[in-house]
Amino acid sequence: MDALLELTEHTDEALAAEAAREGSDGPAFVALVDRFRDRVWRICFRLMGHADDAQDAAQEVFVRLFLNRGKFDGRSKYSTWVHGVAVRTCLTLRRGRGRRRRHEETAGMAALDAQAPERRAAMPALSLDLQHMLDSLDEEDRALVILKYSENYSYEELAEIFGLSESACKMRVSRARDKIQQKFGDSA
Amino acid sequence: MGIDILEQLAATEIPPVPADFDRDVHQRVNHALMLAHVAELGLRVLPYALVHMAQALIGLLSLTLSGRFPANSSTQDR
Repeated sequence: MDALLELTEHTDEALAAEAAREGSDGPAFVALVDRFRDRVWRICFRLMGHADDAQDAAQEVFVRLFLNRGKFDGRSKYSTWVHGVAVRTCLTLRRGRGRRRRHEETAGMAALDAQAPERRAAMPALSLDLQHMLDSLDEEDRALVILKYSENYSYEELAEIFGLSESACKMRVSRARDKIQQKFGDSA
Repeated sequence: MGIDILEQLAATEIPPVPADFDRDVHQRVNHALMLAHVAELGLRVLPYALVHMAQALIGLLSLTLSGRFPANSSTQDR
């Protein structure tokens, strides 16, 4: 109990260093999961757009954080590193899901299509128009726009998470907005 | 306007984290850890052990047939 209380007083970076010394998901890693669970969940839900996919993605994020716990080099804040891992994991899963869906569609598997309306209906409060607009962007631009508008990330934070310059982030968000404007200007 | 609709993103409700999330993470982490250990055993530990065991057997055979220990770098240095 005392050890747990001590861990809650540690900085993220100190906990990460402690977790890197643990052989399994010990107290330090559990404390990190506890600390970042909600933020990782928010990012995954925003980017994946569905609770089931978000749960799978968020769990995968923590598995990756665990397997790469010794690779955090302290050049950025630990929270930024976690957010970066979360975004990259979601992008990878979405790309894989997209490829799988295309493969299944070409193979004539109608089952997935039949499920799609149900899955979309399960998206709380995100309109189909908005979903359609976002899906028209490429995955990384989509993620940039979502994090910028839904989670109110600064361009500085986005630059660190995506490994881009601030100006590149601004330009890509602006281009994504223009693209949406051109495609859906009348209907939106 | 297309841009205005983007503002709706912030209003999207986020459901709470599933109740069994921590347990699932723990299970997946341990599954990944076990796979990593099995991979290390198969790719590093077993080959290392087999190579050393083979070297010992070859040394034993060589000694049996020739009556001399096989020369290696450490004995040559001396």
